Amino acid sequence: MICKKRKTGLIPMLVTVPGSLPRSLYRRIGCFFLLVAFLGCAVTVYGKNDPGIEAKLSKTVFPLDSTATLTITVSGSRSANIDIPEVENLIFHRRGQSTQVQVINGAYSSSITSNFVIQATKAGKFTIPALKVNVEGSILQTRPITFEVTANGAAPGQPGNSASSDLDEVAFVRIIGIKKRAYTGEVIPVEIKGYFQGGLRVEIHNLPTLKGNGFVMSPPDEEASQTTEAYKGRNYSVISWKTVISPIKEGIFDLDIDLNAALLIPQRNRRSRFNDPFFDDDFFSGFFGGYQRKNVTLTTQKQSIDILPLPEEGKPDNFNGPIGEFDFEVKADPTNIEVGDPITLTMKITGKGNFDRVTAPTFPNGDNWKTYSPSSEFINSGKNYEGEKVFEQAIVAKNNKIDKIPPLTFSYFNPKTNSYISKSSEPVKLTFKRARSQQNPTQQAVITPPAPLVSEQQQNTTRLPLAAIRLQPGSFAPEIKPVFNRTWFIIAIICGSLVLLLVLYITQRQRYLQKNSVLLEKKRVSRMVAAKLTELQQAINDNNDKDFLGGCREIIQAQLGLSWQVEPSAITPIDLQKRLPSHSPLKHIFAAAEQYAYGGGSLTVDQMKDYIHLLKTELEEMS
Amino acid sequence: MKPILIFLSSVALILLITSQQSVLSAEPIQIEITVDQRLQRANEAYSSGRYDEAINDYNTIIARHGFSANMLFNLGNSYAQKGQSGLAILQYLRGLQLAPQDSDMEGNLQLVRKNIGLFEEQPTLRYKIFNLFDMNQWAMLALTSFILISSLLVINIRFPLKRGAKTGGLLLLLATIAVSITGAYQQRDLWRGAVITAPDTRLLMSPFESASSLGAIKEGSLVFSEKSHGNYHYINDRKGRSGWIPATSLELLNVSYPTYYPADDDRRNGDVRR
Repeated sequence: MICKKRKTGLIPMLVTVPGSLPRSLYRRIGCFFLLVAFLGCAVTVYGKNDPGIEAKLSKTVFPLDSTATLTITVSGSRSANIDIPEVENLIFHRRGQSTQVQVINGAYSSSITSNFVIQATKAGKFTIPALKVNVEGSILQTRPITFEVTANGAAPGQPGNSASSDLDEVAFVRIIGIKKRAYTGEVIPVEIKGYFQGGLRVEIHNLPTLKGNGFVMSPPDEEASQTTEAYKGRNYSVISWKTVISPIKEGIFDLDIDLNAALLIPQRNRRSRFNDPFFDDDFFSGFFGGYQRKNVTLTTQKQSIDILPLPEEGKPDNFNGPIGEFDFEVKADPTNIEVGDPITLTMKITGKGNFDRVTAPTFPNGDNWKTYSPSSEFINSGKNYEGEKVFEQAIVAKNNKIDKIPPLTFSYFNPKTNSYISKSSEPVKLTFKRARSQQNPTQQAVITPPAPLVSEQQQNTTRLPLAAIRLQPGSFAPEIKPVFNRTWFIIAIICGSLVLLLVLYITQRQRYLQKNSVLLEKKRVSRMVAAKLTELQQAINDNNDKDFLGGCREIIQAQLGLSWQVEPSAITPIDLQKRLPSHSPLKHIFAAAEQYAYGGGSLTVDQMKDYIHLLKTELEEMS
Repeated sequence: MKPILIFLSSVALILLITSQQSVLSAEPIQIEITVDQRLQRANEAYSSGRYDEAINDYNTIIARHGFSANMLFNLGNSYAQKGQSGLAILQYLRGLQLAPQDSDMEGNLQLVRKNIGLFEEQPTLRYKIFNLFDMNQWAMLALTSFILISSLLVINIRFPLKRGAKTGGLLLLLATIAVSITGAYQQRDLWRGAVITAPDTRLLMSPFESASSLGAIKEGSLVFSEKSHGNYHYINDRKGRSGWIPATSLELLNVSYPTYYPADDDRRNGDVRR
């Protein structure tokens, strides 16, 4: 039973042996590789198509100063050796080879495409003989191709210059957003796009320019945006500028935009990146640092625009030129006023259009208001035809007969609806405080006199009620300079700072000394000893042995007390006998002082000099 | 023959020199006009409405003797009466830097501002508090407090003060310094600003004449020059508007030396510098 249990218990354990994979997973991986191998074989077998060959010439008739491209496509093979024959008066330029491999629904196919630019040295009819191509051991042949080369500039059967038409495909410029009808003064946002075939290197040194009459164009953004765009089945690198065009004359005018560019064509690498006969032009013959440079002027296709005058019908009296779509808003502050108080009227016009023609709405004239000329500010949103223009105008109520600011009207022409639109603000209600002028009638005369300076002539004739001029010259200052820029102020600050630093230093030192009491005591004793030594010297001079010996005793006690960390007055001759070396002169001096103090005696001046010398020597040794 | 020629040419040279000297000495004797006389003349011109003459004389006094609040006041009045409100405001503001408590100056400034529609915003409480003193007074208060702190600490070394008194005094003085610096900073606009002196000044997007206009800025407005490029200043105002304006359209408030010196007028008047 136990064995059975173990056996049954071991079965699930097999798949969890550390460091190995379970058998079922091995089986799955094996199956997967088998399947891949089978599919690979199938594809390889399936992909073994019979090779084919095809030769095409881009043009069958072309002028002598142009070229044609011969394209040879070998299908069903990944390698091919093309043998180009010698043809009189024809030059074959190899322009590289490309290989395409496709797997579609398991069907595998490959092809090789080789390009040759054919240049003729004289006009006439030519035949490219059958080309022999060695494809994996087998020889394939193309059919002969016949074509005609005409004299320079004459391309029968083809309108215009072929190089020019090629250029139109490789690089061109378009203008997006233009309308067929517009009004004079209208702002038309447009986008100018320069298209350059993918892979082409281009230098653009100038911004697009407007040609012709009837329009003005704002300078395009200096920083153009660069994108990639597919146009008519080709991929182009597109450089875009945003700008606005504004018609200025009535009538039908053509709108052309020019863009000067330099195309840089790689020369050393003969692999054609464009597959375009345009690059077979004769400008390829020279070299310029590895690139052929060709300056071109790209022009938009002519577009005629009918420029209309603004309709007279329905034109408001206060219309003065804004065209676009606008909103109008008026605010006033403060609205709780006294007579004579200024009110700031803020008029905000937002939207899109010719903001340079947007002016402040006229405040209705009347006896009740005194108005001042408004200030204006245009805040654009990155585009000079879109944003908000804010006008601030100061108005003053001359009396309290009015109860509101009258509505203001802003008119503009909307080119979308072809109609004039007038927008009026709501009247702003005013509240008058109990005017101080009513309490004091004389004060109103003070408030009202200043005449508005809208007219300078009026100002010149009317004197302002200014405070009277001064009759004394007063004290003169050589310059108007803030006090903190003056030398004495700076010096005072520097001095104050130095004092502060000094105080800081002293304070810190005091704290340090307080923390080190031994050092402090040492200093005290040192100062005391120095003072006592001076006194001793004086005692010698006075031949005063009593004071001399008393002083010696004090010095010895103080110095030994510091060294032994005991109270100086408690030191006795016995202590000296015990703790000092036997030959120490301090013992002798101290004993002499004790004897003199208690038993009497006398010292000569010489003895005193000897003692002080010994004392100093000992003190120096001890310190 | 040769010595005679030398003699004659020497005589001719001497005569030429002496004649030059007589020509030089024939210049009219210059009459000194004192400050008071010139001031009187200017005041008379002002009273008679000959503001150009008054302005010329006041400017001459300032150019020769320096700035004085009274002369700036009179000059401001003359400009205001002449209708040059921007220049009038400039002189009043300069005058207020020298005499911040001059109520006549402040009154005239407000009158001229109001007259051209330049209304100051309602002052906030903070503005009122910090406007109690002008920047120089705040700076002096800060300096005095600083020196008092230094003195207090020096005294404390020799005569230790009580801990509470010392701490309290230091905190009070430090607080005074902090308030003074804030007050001075709040009033810096009056010193670093400039006044639009030309009418119809337009803010331009770029520093050249044909640049797009961003709006108009009124004469007499206080602006702040951030940088300059050629003959243009990049300025902003208290409303946050900014743009380029021609250097000729503004005058800086803070000037280190009188910029006007009417030398031609002096020669005409036979005036000399005292």
